[in-house]
Amino acid sequence: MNRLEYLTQLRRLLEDGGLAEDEINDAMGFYEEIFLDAGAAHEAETAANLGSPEELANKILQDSGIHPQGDSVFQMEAAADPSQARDTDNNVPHNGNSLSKLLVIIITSPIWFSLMCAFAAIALAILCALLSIIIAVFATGFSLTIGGIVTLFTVYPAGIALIGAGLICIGLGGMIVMPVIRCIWRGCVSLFNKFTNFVHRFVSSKAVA
Amino acid sequence: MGFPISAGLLDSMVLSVVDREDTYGYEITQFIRSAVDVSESTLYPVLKRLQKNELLETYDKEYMGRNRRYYHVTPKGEKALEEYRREWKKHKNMVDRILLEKGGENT
Repeated sequence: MNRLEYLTQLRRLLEDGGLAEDEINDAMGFYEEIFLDAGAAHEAETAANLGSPEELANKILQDSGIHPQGDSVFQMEAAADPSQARDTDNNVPHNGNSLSKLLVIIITSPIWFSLMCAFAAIALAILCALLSIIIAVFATGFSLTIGGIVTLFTVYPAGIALIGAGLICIGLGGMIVMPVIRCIWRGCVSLFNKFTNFVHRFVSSKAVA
Repeated sequence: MGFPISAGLLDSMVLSVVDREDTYGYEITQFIRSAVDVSESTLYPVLKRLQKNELLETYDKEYMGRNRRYYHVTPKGEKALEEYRREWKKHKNMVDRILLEKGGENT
């Protein structure tokens, strides 16, 4: 296995394991350096030294307090008695477990679906309210500025004052808008990431079962 | 080697390697591996632990168009290393006294 294959697989396994992004980057940085410094000619050798990507990912996840199988009791049994644990691992009915989980999800759908709708509606309402406030502030700012420019030719000081007030409004609007947009954008991105992670994990666990 | 290497011993060896001069991950692992049989995957958590305990700090330096992470021993790390070395001498003397049937001169 070459460096790129190894590291790509390792990253995917760490992401699936739910390791924090900065910890993943930290580990990836370390092992990428190991590969690069060992030299392109020794990639296969380095990969062999590190063990399979699965083994390494499990080790990294365990070191950061995550149990790859998502079952801490099983892990402790495995540590206590490896031979016995290997047997139970083969006998655990993964299939029935995930099926019953799916059943529970379907049965409770009237509850969580309506809850999800309610949350979405609330989020949308807050978004709309924020948007309308921002639009109002900007509209006030622009109309004051334009009004000021018009009055400038009739009552000079009043025009200056109006333009000043208008520009203050636009500035305030900008100060509100920038962080809000940034927050919303970040929220959307992380929500999307979580969702795709969840779907990915769900699909892969089904594939294993 | 038939003797297992404890976490404390690994910590002190890594500290000692970095104490010679600031160095990077691969060189540290190669240096340690020249003495004891451990894999890179054993040394990564050691480096992380030493950083977390503020015995080591890192900085990035450009090397052939990429970043290389260098490790540096903090003042706290220097103190810890001194303590480790003292402990090791004591430990070594005690073991030698029994294993090599030497008289313990400086205990």
